Amino acid sequence: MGTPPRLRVAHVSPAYFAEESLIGGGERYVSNVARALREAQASLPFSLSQAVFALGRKDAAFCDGEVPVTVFANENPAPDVMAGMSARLWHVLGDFDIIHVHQALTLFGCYCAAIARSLDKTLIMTDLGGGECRLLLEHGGLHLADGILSISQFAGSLVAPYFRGPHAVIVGPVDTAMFAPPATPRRRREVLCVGRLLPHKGIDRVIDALPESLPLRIVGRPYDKKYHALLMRRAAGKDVRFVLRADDAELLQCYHGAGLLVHAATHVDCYGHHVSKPELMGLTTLEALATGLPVVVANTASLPELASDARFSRVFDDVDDLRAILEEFAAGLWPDAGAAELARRHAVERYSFPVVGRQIAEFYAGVHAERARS
Amino acid sequence: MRVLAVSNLYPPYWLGGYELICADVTNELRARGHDVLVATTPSHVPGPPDPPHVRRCLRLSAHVPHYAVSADDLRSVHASDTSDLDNVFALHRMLGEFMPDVVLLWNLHGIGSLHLIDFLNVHRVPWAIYLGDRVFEQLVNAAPAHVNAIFRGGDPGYFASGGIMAVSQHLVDEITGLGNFAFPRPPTIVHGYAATSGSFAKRTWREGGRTRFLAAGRVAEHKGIGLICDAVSSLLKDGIGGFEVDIFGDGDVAFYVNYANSLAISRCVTFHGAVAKRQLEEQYRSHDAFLFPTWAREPFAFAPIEAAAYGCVPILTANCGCAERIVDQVHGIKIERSAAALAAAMRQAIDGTIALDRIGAAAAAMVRSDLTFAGHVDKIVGVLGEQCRPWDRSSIDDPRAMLLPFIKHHLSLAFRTGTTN
Repeated sequence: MGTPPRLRVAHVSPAYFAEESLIGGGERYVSNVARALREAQASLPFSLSQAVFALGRKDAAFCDGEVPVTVFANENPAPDVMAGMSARLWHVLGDFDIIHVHQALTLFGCYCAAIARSLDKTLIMTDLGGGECRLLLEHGGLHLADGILSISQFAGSLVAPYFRGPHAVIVGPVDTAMFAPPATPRRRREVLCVGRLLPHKGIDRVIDALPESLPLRIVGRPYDKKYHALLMRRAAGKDVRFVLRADDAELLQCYHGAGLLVHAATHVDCYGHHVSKPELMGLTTLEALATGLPVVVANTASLPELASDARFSRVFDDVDDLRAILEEFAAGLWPDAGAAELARRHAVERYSFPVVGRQIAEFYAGVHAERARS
Repeated sequence: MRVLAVSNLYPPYWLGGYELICADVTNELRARGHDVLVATTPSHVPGPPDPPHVRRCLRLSAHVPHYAVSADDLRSVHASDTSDLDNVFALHRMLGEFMPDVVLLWNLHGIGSLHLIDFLNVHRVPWAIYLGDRVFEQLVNAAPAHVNAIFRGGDPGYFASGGIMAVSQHLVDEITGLGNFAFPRPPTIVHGYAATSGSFAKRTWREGGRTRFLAAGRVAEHKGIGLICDAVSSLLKDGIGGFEVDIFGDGDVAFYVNYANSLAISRCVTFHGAVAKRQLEEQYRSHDAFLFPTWAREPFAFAPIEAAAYGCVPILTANCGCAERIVDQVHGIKIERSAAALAAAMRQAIDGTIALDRIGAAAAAMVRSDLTFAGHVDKIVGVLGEQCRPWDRSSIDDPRAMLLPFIKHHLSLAFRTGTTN
C-alpha cells in the first residue's frame, strides 16, 4: 500500500481571532476552518497538514487547536490592516502546496495572491469581507486564483461574475462541540443579539422592535463608539443589557440563557449608509443553532440561507415584521416545542467541523488535482 | 547560444562605458556565432539605422543627466527602478518571439529593473547580469521595503538564480558596503578591457623634454576635471612649466573652459571635445600620462586602461575601480583624490622622478596580456554558459502570464502611494 498523497495547506489572513487583533466572524472563520480540516482528517483519503499565517502589530506564535499559528508584524506603514503585508510570507509559503487566502478581496489578499502565483502554488481565495479590491475584481486579479471558496450563496454571487474557474459554496463550519445545547432548560424569554456593535449589524432595529414584555441581551465588542451611544439611547426604558467583553465561555452562557437569537444585519444602516456586504455568512447564527437556539434573521445578504426551516428559524423584512415575530415569540406561539433539537441536529448535520472540514478538504484536493492536470 | 540582451541605453546614444561595453560585447558575441537580440530604449542621437538585432522596444523613465525625474513624481520614480509595466510586457513579447537560452542584463536603471528581474525569476528564465554600476543597490533601495517586497526585492537570495558579473571587486565592495544588498554568492569579476588595435609600438616619453598629459571621458566634476585644472594652476604658480594637458570628451565643457580661463591656465589646458576612438588611440600614443583623479565611486573606467595599453601612464585615484588592476609605481601612479596629490604626481612626471618609460611599458604589457577584450568576452561567455538550461516556454504562453505582472505593478503603486484599493 502506497503512502497516501499529502496536501500541505497554508491559511493566510490579515488578522487573527484575538483581543489584540480582531474579534470578528472573518477571523473566527479562519480558526474554524483549520480546526474543521483537522477533525475531518481521519475521513479523508489523503493526509493534510496545515498552518495559519496572520499579520499583527508584533510577531507571535501559538497553537490554535494544535494548528500552528504564526503572526508576523505588519510591514506596511499604512494604517489599514487590510493593506497589511510581510515579506516573510515569501519564505514560509514556499513550503506549502495550497495557499488559502482569507479576507481575499483586500490589498493583503492581492499581495498574498501575487506571492502564491509567483511561487507556483495552488491558490484558493475566500472573501470574508474587509474590502472590495478593484485590482482583484474589476481588473481580473481574481483569475490568479485556482479556486474560489465562498462561505454563502450570497458571497458567491458577488465574486462569480469575476471568476470562471472552480468555485464552491460551503457554509460553515461552526464548532458544534463547543457550542452545544445547555444541560439545563433555557430561560426561554430572553432575546439575544451577538455581533460587533457596528451600524450594519442593525442592532438598533432589534431594540426598536422589542416588545415591552421581552428582555434583550446584546453581546459584542463596541467597535463604534457613536453607534454604541445610539444603542444606549434607544434602549432607555427597555429591558436591554449590554455584554461588551464576553469571552467564549460567557458567550456560550448567553446562548444557553436565551430563548431566541436575532440577527438583524442590514444593507442600509441607521445613518442611511449603504453597506454592500453586511453579512457574508452569519457565524453567530450558526453558533446559536448549534446550541439549539431558534433564530430570527433579517432578509439581508446571506442570512436567509441559514433560515431554511421555519420550525426553528424565521426571516424578517423590516422592523414591523420583526416586531410581529417577537410578539409571536413572547406569546409562546412560535417556535414549537422540539425546535431546539431540530436546530441542533440541523447545525451538526450541515455545518459541523467534520462535515464542512471534509467538504473543504475535498475542494482543495480537487482544485489542486485539476491544476496539476492542466 | 541565443542571448537576449537588455540594456537601458545602446549606441548611438550613450553616456559612459556601460552601454559601449554592451554594444562591444554584443558585436563580439555575434562575431563568435552566437545569436544575440538587444532590447533597449530609443536613441535621440542621430546614427545609422539600427541593425535587425537591435530592438528599441523599451521605455526609459529616467537616466538622462540633468533630466532626472522629480522625487515627487512617484509614478516616474517607480517606473524607473521598480516597475514599468510596459517594459515587462515588452520583455514578455521578446521572450516569446526570440526564446533565448539566457537573458543578459546590463544597466537597468530607468526601465523598471526590479520587476524585470522578478518576471524572469517567476518564469524561471535563465539570466545573468553584468554589473558596471550599482544596479542591485539602486534597485533594492529605489522603493520602500514593503513595496520592493512585492517583487521580493529585499531578499538577496532571490537574485541567486542569476549569474552575476561585476567589473571590479571595488564595485562589489561598494554595493555590499552600502548595507542594503548582500550578494548571494561572490560575483564573477570581469575586469574591464582595452580593445587595442595592433601590437604595442615602440614609443618615447617626454619627447623634447616636454610632458604631455591627457584626460578622456566625460568632462564632469566627478571625473576630476576641476581637480586637474586646480593642479595645473598650482604647478604654474610654483613656476613649473614644460607640460601641457589635453582633455577629450563631452560634458560640462563650457563651464571648464571658463574655469580654466579664470585660473589663467588656458595656455596649458586645451579642451578638444569628443573624438572618435581611433583618434583617441593616436592621442594615447603621443601622450605620456593619463590624468584620472576620478571619484572613488568609479566602478571601473575603461579609458585609463585603454591609455595604458599604449604606454600612456595612468595617474589615478587610488581607490577607484580600475585601480585594483594597477600596481602602484609598476603599472601606474595611485594618488589620493586631491588637487595637491595630483599636482605632486604631475610634478614628478615632469621632472623625471617618475620613470614614465618603465611604467608605461609595463602597463602596456599587463593590459595587452591580462585585460584583453577577447578574455573579457570569454569570461562573459563562461558565465552565460553556466546559466543556460532548458526553461519551460509554456510558462510565458500561459494566458495568465501577464496578469500577475499587472497585479504586481498596480499593487506596488498602491503600496507606494498609500492608496487602499
